[in-house]
Amino acid sequence: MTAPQSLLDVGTEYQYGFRDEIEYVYKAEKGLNRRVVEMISHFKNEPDWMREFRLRALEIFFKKPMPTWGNTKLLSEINFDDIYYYIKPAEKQGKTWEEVPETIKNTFEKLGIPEAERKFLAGVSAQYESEVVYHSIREDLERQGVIFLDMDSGLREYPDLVRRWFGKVVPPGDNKFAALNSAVWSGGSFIYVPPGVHVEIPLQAYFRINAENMGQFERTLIIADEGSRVHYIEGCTAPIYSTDSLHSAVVELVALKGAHIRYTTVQNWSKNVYNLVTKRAVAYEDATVEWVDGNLGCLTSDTKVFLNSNIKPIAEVQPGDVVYSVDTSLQLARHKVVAKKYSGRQPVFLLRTENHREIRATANHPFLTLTKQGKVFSLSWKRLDQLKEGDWVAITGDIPDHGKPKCFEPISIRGKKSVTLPEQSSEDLMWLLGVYVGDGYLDANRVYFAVPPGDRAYKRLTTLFSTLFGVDYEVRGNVVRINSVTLRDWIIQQGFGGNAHEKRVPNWVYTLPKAQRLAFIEGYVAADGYCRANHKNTSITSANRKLLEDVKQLAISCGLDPRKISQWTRREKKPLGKEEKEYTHYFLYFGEGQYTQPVHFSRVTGIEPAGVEDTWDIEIEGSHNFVANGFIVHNSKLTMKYPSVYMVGKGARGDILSVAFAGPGQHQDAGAKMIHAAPYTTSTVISKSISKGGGRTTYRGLVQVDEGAVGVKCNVRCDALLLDEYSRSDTYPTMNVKEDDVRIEHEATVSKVGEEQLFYLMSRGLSEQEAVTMIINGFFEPFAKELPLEYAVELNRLIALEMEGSVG
Amino acid sequence: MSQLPLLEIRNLHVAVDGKEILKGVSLTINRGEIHALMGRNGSGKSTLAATLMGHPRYEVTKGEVLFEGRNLLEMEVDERARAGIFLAFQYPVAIPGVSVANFLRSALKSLRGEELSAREFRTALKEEFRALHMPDNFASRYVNEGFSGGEKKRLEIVQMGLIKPKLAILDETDSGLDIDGVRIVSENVNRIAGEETGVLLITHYQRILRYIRPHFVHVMVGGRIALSGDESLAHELEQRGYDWILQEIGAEEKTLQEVG
Repeated sequence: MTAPQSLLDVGTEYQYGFRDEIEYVYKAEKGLNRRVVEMISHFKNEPDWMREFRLRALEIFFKKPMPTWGNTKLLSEINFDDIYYYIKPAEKQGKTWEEVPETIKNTFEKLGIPEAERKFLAGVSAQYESEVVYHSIREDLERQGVIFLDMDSGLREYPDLVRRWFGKVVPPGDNKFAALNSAVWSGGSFIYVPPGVHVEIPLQAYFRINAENMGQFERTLIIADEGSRVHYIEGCTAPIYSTDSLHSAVVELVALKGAHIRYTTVQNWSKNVYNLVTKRAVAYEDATVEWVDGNLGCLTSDTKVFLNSNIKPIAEVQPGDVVYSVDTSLQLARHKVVAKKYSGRQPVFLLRTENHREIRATANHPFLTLTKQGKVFSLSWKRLDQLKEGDWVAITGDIPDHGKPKCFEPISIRGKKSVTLPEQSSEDLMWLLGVYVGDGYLDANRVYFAVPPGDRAYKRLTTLFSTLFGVDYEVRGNVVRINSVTLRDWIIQQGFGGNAHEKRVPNWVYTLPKAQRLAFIEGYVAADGYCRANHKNTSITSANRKLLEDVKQLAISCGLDPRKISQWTRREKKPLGKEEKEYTHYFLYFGEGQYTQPVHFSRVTGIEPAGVEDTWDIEIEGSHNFVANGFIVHNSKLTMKYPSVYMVGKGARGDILSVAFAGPGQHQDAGAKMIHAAPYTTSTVISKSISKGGGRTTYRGLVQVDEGAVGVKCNVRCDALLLDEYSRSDTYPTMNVKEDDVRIEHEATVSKVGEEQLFYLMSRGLSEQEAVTMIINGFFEPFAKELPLEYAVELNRLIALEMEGSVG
Repeated sequence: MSQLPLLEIRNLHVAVDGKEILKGVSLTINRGEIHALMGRNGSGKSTLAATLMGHPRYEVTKGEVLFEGRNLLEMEVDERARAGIFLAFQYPVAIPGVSVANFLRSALKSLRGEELSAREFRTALKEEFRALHMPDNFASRYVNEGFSGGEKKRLEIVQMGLIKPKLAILDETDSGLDIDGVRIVSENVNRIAGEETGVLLITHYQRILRYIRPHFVHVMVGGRIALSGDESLAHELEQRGYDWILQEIGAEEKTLQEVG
């Protein structure tokens, strides 16, 4: 535990660190403990009961295991100590638009909020980070007695009302994330609609996350008193930011007798958000609760990588393989690949660094990046399209050695000459094979090395002929020759066949102990390498570029510092009658040093489009990052949302309509829970999902009928649309029914965008992208119909954005 | 420009899933000409229609197609549409959730490169509905979803009327229509085509040719145009069926072989 510090000191300390764009009045330290929770409560001037509530929740959070519902594997990835739990962006809350600080206004401006909303909507409550800064409510609502405040103000102004319901629908003990939210909540909406009042226009709040590593823990409580009616819209438009953000909200709805609540979400979180929201409603007698839930761009596994790791091409990686991955202390550790998926053909970019590491990846692929804020360096994940020249990206240095010697299979002996074949690889053998790759060749019966007596490699080479293979050799001019057809066969067997242009480094070489890999490179350098005068650096020359690229990756795996591969073309004039001929050679240069640390950083020197490629992504157990071409890159993220309705009064009704869109490499895990705890309650669930480019959607639903809840009706319908053969959709319905007198229906359909539909629309002049977008809009139409116009428009725009560049 | 034929098909060979369906089709259509293409099921008529529109499953293995002198085969489906080719589908597909009005407005926007005003569009759409004897509420129905066979075919002609193509390919538009339907659709095709549009009318039956009178009639057999003639050829087919053509071709091929 760190030494206690004055609360005010903590505040000022952080005040100036982040003043570039937004002046934070207060930013808590990273991580979570009693002190942070107490500070939050202190700064908010909360009543004692709320502080106690928070602290109790914190204890529960520490004790509670991770949820077992949903994608539990990804949940274990969240690092709770690396998150800010409270940031207060501005001194006071603006009452009118003009009072809102300029920087924050600009951000809202970019999101197009005020214009669209003011005309048509009742109150605008915009949440910028943790605190509501802009909030206005139309006067007639106030006259009707409708309370629409941010949660903090609600607590201040209506403490009794809040205390009566707060944490009752979702108690802190419900799940780990509910406990977390209860401990550190900040902001959110508080709505109370008096009996019989119908709020005709939707109330809404915009939420936004901006600071890196900042948790957003808003808390919303809506109470619709008897016979009242309200529609609340939660619009979420998160920008792209570079590190993982945790969004863990709690939404509690209380629909008293005969009340009607509709809660609509149109969500467009950027790709790095862990989105773990507990949304629950209680519907009393004859009350109705509707959740309308749109999840677009709310992504789980981010990446669409093209990896051209020559160590093992990503296309050949299989689940169960072990890859290197970086842990928080910047050490390389080995982690298992748990899944691999094809991500479709996508545009890729070539990223090059100062030390000539190169990788091709899609624009959204995250790289481990070192950034400097003031005097402080910090690590974060940045998407390729956020990187620019001069940025520092993580590359591997000295990779831990987990190699094993290769055991060779015996081969059949041909010819009369005796030869010993090695049973397993050794440094000497690898050195010799390195020389062979540079200077060796074969004919039908013999093995040749173009290493003349007097060459620096001659002595060791010829000695090894007898110690390794027990064979004699002959010198023929500049060439030594071994007359052993069996040795020739063996060399081919090990993957070294082919002429100078065809030779490659066989895959098994990468799996050897480091000393043997180095010996191989050394042998190759002995054959083809040299140091030019005036150059300190070694270079290797070959006419075979692919071979040099292999050697480069092998050198990276040994912690060496291979640099650029450059090309040199020489034209040679021939005697009369012969055509001029071109000879092209390539040079691979090496830096002087050898890396000693596992992770280094190198500056980006260029990012350029590199065509359209098949792309793959792999999912790594534990760490979610992996080494590709000597870069450290990241894979996936998670969304889990299962809004629920507890129907506790006779005749209550719950409706959930949810749509999800999973793009390349993403996994949308969403669904619904319907708890029928009273007789004659009815519920419907309509879930619509679209997957494209290898994306995956999952519907996870629970229908529960408690004892005594007779006459229950429930209808669940899941429609999935797959845009290509690589995408998938799964449905996991769970039924927990303790009564006989119930009617439960479950339907699931999976359809594909047909070639014929596309052809039909395109024959009327629509481009392929327009046609696909139209088909998708049509699929979502039943959802869009339920939205106010501007949200329907936004939905269409989001779909168009999701579809951009996804075709052709 | 106007000197060039509207459509020129030269020795077109087309395969589907590796199987050759069209085996050397040549055909020229000029502006204002109506060509009827007849033939048995499986003779390759619809393949020709789909190939001209650019269906991705139809692979051109040989030959060329020029539209106003431009290489049609290099163009994407939507480019062909923008160039002025229209295909009235034999089996129009349903697009759930997409209203007819929304679909057609987007299509016209893409084809013309500019958006029609809502009023202009509504007026134009209403006129076409009226001409095809369809109620206005079809505008808000989802494209072809739950339409009867006849309604689907009429909607195709509504689209033709809005789009006003240079070349209209009608793939068995008469099938699925009752007698009144055939007449209404035919009258509208004539109206829309006028003096300038080239029409390739694919049909099994002579009945539509009573209303849409072709300048040329072609008979397709085994992936080739076996016989071409004027309107009278259609009457002959109606009376005698297709068998006699097969015999005639057989004889012709035999003669050729003897000569060769």
